[in-house]
Amino acid sequence: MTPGDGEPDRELVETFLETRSERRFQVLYRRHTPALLGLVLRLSAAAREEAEDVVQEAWVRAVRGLPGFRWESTLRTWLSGIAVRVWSERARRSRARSETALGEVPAPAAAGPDLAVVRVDLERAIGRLDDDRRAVLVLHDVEGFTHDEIGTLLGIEPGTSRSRLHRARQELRLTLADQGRVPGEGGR
Amino acid sequence: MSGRDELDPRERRSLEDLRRDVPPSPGLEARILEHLRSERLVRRRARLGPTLARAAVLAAVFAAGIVLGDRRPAPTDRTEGGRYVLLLIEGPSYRTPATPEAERERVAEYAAWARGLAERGRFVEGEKLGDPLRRLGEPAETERGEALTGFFVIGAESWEEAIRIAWTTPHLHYGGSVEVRRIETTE
Repeated sequence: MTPGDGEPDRELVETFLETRSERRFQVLYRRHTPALLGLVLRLSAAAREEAEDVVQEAWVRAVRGLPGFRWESTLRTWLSGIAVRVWSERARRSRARSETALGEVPAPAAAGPDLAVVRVDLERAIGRLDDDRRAVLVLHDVEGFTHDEIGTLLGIEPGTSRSRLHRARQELRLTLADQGRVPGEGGR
Repeated sequence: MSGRDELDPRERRSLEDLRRDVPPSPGLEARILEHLRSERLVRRRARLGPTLARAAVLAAVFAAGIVLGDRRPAPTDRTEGGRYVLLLIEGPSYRTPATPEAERERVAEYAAWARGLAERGRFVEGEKLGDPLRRLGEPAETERGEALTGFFVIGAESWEEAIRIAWTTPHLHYGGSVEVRRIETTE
């Protein structure tokens, strides 16, 4: 019943920009929000309410910026980028408030077992990573962004992204080893 | 493998499997729309004031008349019998389907209702209306937060029968309203 349900993103956005129709926005919102919310929840390891605040701000920024979107990526990727930036800014502000410096998180001494474990253990272990490492690990290993893209999204050098990923994977393996998850126990 | 950096296939699969969609809370869409409205980044759905409503009725009737022509006459030409238009109106109390699947189910329900009427020789035409692309002329006299979203043209033996049919539209079950008007022939 909603106009635009079956339309490709590009046509939908063009019509939306012409009409500013709430209904067109609703189709875009319903199509992309579950993926955006999933991404932000994985990034933040935070409460759902906070994650939805991030998604809300991301949508507002996206609608403001839609006239300038050049379709050099898919709409989903562009929206994901905005959501990541919103989350990143909030995480930075939150960190500044709690005076937690990045360097305070020690690097793991050695790699532990592998990461092929049950989902709940893996999610919990990812949630224990610090914000910076978790962001890179989620964006690279879960979402499939490249280090160049992550660099742009988070405002860091691609090399920094690589080193954070290296440390994140090591730390994750150690955490899982502490939990008694060893290679071969995987499966969901 | 101590100190290794790369993921093995099983690890890669475990991490990629974490990627999944999460349905948002029901209120999030409304909050975002409210914010977008406050910045005038979206336009509220078309309001249906009396002037616009009259124009919409005329447009709907005119369209139906063109579609039908002489091929599908009204079931009767008696004073009260003839064709009636049921205007489907969505106001604040209308419950919009929450998912595309629910949307499809609702469309199917409306279509089934129309098929039932057709089997009784009462259904003439029905269309869903898109969002208004432009509003021309004078603005509506009043704004009630309502949108005209579709119409059915039915044939009925009398005004009472038209009303009885209108009461059965699934649109009413979802908080919508239905305005019934007789189509007056202009020769």
